[in-house]
Amino acid sequence: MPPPTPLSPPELSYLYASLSLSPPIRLDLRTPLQFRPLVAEVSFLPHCNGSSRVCMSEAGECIVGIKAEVEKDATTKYATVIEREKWIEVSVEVAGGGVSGAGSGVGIGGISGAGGATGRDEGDGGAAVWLKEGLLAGGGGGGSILDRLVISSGWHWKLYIDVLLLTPTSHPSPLLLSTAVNMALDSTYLPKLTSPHDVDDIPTFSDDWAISVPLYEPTTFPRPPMSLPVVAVGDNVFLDPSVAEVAAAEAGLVVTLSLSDSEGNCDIVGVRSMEVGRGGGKEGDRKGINRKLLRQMVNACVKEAGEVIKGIGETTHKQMFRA
Amino acid sequence: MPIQIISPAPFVTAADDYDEEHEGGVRLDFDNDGDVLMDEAPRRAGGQAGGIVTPGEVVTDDPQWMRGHGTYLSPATSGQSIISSLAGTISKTNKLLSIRALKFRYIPEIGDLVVGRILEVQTKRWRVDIAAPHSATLLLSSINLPGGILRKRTSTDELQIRTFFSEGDLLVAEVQTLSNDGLASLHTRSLKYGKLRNGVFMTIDAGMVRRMKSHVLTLPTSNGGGDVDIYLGVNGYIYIAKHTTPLTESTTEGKSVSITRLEEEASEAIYSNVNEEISPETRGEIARIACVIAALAKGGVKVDEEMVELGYEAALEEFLQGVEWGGDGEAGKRVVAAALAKRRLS
Repeated sequence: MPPPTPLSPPELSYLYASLSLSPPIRLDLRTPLQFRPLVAEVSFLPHCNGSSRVCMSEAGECIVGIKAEVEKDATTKYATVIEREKWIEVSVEVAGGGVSGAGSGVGIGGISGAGGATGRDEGDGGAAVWLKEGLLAGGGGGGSILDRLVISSGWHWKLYIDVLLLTPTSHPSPLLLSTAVNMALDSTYLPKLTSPHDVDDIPTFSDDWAISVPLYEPTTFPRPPMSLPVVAVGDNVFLDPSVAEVAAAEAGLVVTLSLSDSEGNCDIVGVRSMEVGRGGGKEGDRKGINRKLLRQMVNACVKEAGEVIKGIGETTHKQMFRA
Repeated sequence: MPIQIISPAPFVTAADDYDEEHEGGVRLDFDNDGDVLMDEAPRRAGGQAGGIVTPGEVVTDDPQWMRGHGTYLSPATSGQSIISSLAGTISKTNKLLSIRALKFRYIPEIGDLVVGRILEVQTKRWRVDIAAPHSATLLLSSINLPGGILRKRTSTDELQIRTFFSEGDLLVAEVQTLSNDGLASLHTRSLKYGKLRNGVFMTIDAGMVRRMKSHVLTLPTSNGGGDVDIYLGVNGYIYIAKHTTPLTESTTEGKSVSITRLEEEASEAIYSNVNEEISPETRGEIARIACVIAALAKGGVKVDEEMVELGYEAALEEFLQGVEWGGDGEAGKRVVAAALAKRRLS
């Protein structure tokens, strides 16, 4: 595939003008805060603890499989933070391309920092680092995912999150990745522990999947995190931007949120900036992002995210229990 | 809800298009008289016309069939079975079995109107993406140079090549020649062709545009949108733009312009990168047409002049009923169904 060709100047200016109208006109007639429909299914891989497949019209398809392995703590006393962060391993593979694990640089969706060196000892993990970061951050209500991985003293689950992107473009939407990982996490079940919690011996588990325990209890919060891309054009803010809209945008953010209660309130877990095009203007006269616009962008995400995460969670559970 | 989540549906062949639906659904284990061949081994689910086969899958081992496009014969040692070389649906013409690929690239043919995007500027020519296996070339000598068609191409033009087209620019052109390996060479030596502006670009699958007499449609729109031009590239690239008066019609007081004069009119303006002023109404209608075309292609209905018009009509009716397209994922399907119903009536 050739590298993506830039849009032509008339196209960009048309897009920019349409999107900065009031009310704006999106090319697919969506309202500014509306998402594109997506096709999703969960727990379809038989050998995984949790899996999902998500297709988006433009960004392509993404398959996530989560496997859990019992591992002995490396340190006998309290595991250090760095030690514990290794309990989750994320790898993002682009079909026909490279692997975004430790040391490779597959950048996703132009998220700044996700493509370059991050200064961590995992190397420049690209999308993998970005996804893991959102996971580890947990929610405002405390209770990081790492606490759920503790089996008994001295033992923990190690999670392998493998993401396979089947995507025709080199710029898959961060929404695709994060939805797929979110649904896979939500459908992850771990075998039930049958040995006592406080014994150092090798833990034993029940063979019965019917009584397995979910990694994320459906009724407890926070839920698995979710990242929403948002761009601004003029004074308008758009959620789930298409590739063309990103190219015409002036500012872009990826806001990672997690649901904090059943009312649909969300906690902001992280905000990253997203690489966008050059807006409607010429190279160099792109507007900056002021405080008002920044607040507007983050607010739009927080407002819509509750419904979105709840909706995705409901779909996941419906599919889980139908089977 | 701001997001709509659809559970995956099994593959259905594009049976909505009535002139194609009769090909499907014929079982291979019937012979042509419709008798069931009783001694046949049971077929797999794929081995049936209209079913899906994947590359390497045995379509049939019955010697009565001839192999057509998209198939090959297995080595004689394993009993001469017909094997698919494509992922696609089986189609059958008398005793000829062929596979129609689910997705394929555009194969250029001379005279096709295509919409393309400049990939690369080289000396004396451009490389153009037209969704074909190879990118096409556009020679500097096969475009309209400002200042008249009869003007000789000079070295100044070569130096200024980027003022005509540069990377990313969209253009509408015609396939002029094809080389032996299917490499297309384009030309824009007509005022109908050239750089595209004042609109939006979209892509659909290459096979979804029906070949027509004219691939440039002018659609009068309602809601104060004025006329909208639709360039339906045979390659599946589509450009929808505000209607601009072609230079050939911009005659003053009914006096026709002489050929040489006309070429002077077509000066630098044809390579301008600046859009005209486009009203929000026109933008709205352009977006609606884009949605209609996308919905038609998604619904497996070939896009042509009639379907675009009917689809647009149906979309307007939906709009009058207060349905906002973007807010309703089913709107596209309903519009396509309504358009198909209208076509059956007409």
